[in-house]
Amino acid sequence: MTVAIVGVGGLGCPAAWALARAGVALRLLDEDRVERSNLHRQMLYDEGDVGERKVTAAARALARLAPGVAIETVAEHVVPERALALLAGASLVVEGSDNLPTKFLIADACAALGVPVVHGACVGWVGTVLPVVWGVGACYRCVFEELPSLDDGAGEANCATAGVYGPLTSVVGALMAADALRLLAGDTARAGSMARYDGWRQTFRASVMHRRRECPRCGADATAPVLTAARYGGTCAEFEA
Amino acid sequence: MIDYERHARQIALPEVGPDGQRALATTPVDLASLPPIARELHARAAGADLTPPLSHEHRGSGCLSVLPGVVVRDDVPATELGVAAWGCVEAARRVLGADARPMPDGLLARLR
Repeated sequence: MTVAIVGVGGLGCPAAWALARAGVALRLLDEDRVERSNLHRQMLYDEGDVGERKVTAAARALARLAPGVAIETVAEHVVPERALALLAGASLVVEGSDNLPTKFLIADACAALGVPVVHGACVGWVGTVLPVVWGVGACYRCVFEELPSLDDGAGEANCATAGVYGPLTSVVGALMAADALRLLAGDTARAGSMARYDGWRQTFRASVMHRRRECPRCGADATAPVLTAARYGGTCAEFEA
Repeated sequence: MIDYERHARQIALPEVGPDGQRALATTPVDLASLPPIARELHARAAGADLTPPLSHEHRGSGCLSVLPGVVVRDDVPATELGVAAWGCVEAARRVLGADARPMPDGLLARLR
């Protein structure tokens, strides 16, 4: 049983921390290297890791935290042409990217593979988590439908531009890990239930999202997605949260 | 001194800014009632080299005390981490001048 973590940044680090300590084998996917601006929130890295591949530094930290847990590293961005191959064999995917093209790509790839996925997002003081089990509850495209045009300002509000309070990402990453562990144990009660935590207001809400009949991935006339770069705005390059 | 490069994404928050980041670095915070990982998370966010020691000497002497009495099941790492991180967020709010708030309903249950 292996969980693939897409993006070993602000959300992927705490999710990996919690899952590895729970004994879950991990596949870490991220092409980026550690930067100093990551250190206030990405809990698997220290000053000595700056410049190193995130997956390498993360695997080293996890080996100390959870000896004996299998950690596979893939120093690649998940691009449309490679998505199915990179996620194949995973029992579940934890998606912690911070850009919409990648989120839609991972949603579609998981639909094609029939793999449950836990989506997470975080900006400012607010984070959301959506666990998806195909055929059980709403999926990412049930909620967000289509990738907005970049002309509409899609992707402008991420933590690189709007900021993020460091420990908030660990609250959200922990929620992602908790949902993942429930799904791995066969408990699908939270599938399609979107959790939203606002750290500044200290509010939490879990809302059941409804499946859309017209959803292209899980609706009545769902079709297999065609994963091409053009469909996802041509790039899925940023993973940091 | 503020490490602007390391904390750029927190300083970008209107609620933090340079003054708030400086306050986070210099305000003693008692996280003893939280899981141990809270100390590391807070130190990262506040400034690892600047954070005053989170020791017994600070307790009861004007430092902020967060979340007395919450029990965390140590055998569930996601719960442990989530509660610790929530406590760090709450600590930051108080350092930054916001009113004290309890853990919101439903959060702990979702972390389990």
